[in-house]
Amino acid sequence: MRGAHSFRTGAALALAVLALATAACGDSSVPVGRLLDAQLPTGVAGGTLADTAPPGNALTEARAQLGKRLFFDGRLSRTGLVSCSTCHAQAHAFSDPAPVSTGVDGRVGTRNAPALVNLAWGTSFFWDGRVASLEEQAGKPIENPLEMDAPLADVVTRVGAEASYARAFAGVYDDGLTAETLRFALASFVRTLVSGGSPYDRHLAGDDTAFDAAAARGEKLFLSERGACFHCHSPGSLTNGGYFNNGSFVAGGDPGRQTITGRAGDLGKFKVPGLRNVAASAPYMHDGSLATLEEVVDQYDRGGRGDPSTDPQIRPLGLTAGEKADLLALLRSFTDDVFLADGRYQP
Amino acid sequence: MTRFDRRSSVLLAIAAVVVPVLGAVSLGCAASPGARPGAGGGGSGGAARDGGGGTTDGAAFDGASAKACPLSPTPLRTAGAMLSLSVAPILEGKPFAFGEANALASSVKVTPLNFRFYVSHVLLLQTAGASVPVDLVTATGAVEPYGVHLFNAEDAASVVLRVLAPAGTYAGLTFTLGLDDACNSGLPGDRMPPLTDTSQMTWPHAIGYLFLRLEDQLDTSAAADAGTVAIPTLVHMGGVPGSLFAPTVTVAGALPLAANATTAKTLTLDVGAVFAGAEADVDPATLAMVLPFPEVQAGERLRQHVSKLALFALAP
Repeated sequence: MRGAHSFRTGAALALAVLALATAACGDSSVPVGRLLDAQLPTGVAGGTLADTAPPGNALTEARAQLGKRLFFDGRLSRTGLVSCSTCHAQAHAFSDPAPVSTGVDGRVGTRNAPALVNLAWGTSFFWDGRVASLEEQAGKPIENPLEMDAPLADVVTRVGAEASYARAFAGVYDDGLTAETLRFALASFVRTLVSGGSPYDRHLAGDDTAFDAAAARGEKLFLSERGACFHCHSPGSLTNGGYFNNGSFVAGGDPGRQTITGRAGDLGKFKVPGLRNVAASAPYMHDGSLATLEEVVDQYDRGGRGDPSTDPQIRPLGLTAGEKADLLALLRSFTDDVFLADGRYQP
Repeated sequence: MTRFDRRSSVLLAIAAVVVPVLGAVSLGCAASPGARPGAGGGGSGGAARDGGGGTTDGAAFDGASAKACPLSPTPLRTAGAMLSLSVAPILEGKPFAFGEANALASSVKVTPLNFRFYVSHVLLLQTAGASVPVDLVTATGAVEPYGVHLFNAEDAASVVLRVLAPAGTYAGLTFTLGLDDACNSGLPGDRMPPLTDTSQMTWPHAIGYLFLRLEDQLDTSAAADAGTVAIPTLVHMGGVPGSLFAPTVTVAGALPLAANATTAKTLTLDVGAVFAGAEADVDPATLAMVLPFPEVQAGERLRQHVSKLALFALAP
């Protein structure tokens, strides 16, 4: 019962903080306050948010706040016009509503910008899982020529020219502003993008009113061997952290995980995303090729797009219209409206 | 109602439907090849750890009698001989490379996509018939969390099993291919690796973890007679606490372990035997009582046949 107890304690603290915060701002829907005072998702490993940080980059409020400032700063790109938030918009669960994102000089990427939700508990990052920490991840888009196209050293110089940045870094990292601490600060902020206030969270926490009948039916299908969604989207975290060819790959397309491992069996495998706020993070799949959740459900119902590399667990489901509607109701129950408008995540 | 209560109530509702049916089947199949020897009868499992590392009467661990699944089990011993077993999957006598197209004599190509299993409750066999319970340990000698090892073919660090044993010469080993009942219960969200969701070994309900999962792709385009290919692409073997138990594997072979030294051995795993077990005949009544999906039924076929198959062998 350790997990349940810690959840209750954490929830109580979070609610207390939220109550104070909302009383202060007079808006009951948009909390303000510390980034570290997150309402943790239900069903995810216990402990505090700070426990998710690696030893070399202990999570503090000051580091997260500094990372937030960087997240919205266009100076991280070569042109000064593209920030992290350009492709990771809060209203879209910190993803991009375009199928693929546009970086500096109008350069177009090749993959859909993933949602940044509950990555504190992630074990690998990017669609192909090429890095194993948020700290390592944070520098990649900055240096990617299709995204921000800026050597980290140049960014450090540009950012460090502003005295307030230099002072802030000196205050939270012994080494002050360096390429490493810049990545660390960004990772600290991303680690605080925590969503735990969806109807699904409340349902798991025991709120009998959180689900309507359709979502409840959808959950049963989601958890059934027939629907088989749970094999990848584990209850609670809604991801198993693995890689899977879910039938979205087509011949000649992005090889996904195979790019990293070189293994034949990894062709078309992509990282299994968590599903919190999935209704807000359209379009879907690694290439953003499915515009709506309805299209996603339809593709799974068909058993994918038919490439032989598709995992054998993907098979035609024979869903009725009602069952599809139930699944959609469940998927929409993963939406945390407070997270999507949370003032703490805004510049 | 708390999260735990909520999830438990859902899970128990499912289990309430499934377990009695499976239990009935189990009762009706007392001689089922998958039933663990002495299941429910108070075997040597608890005594093995409680006995402080002494020998037992040679009986395999009885998972049904396990009372707890502690994250940090009390070590049976803190020094001794280290046995390092490198698990090497083979198919038709050749290495079975993960993520690669493995060509068979029939020209069928098998590409494993996911291959994982749990190992627990290892005992070394003595020539006199007794057995010595040993801890599964990490490279540093610490007991593995929950006393459980997760083999994941994708993770090179996981393919080596290590046990700490008294020095001596042994005639083989036995282990549980899966989890005992205590570990096979409970919620992944309340646990640590290797019993969390990231193990990819969880069911969404209260009838336990997967003990073994194997997913693969078949390329039969070059096979002369693809119609005769009997290789399952999905095998999900699990159990049900209280009625369907993780099977025991026995591996014979000389294991001379020198004091304060590490002895390295290769433990081959015949994937062909896994396929054979997953396709083997069983009492149809038993299959009718597990979930009617091919991967689950293949897993149940395998579970019932593990003790009859030469899945593992100690390489010379």
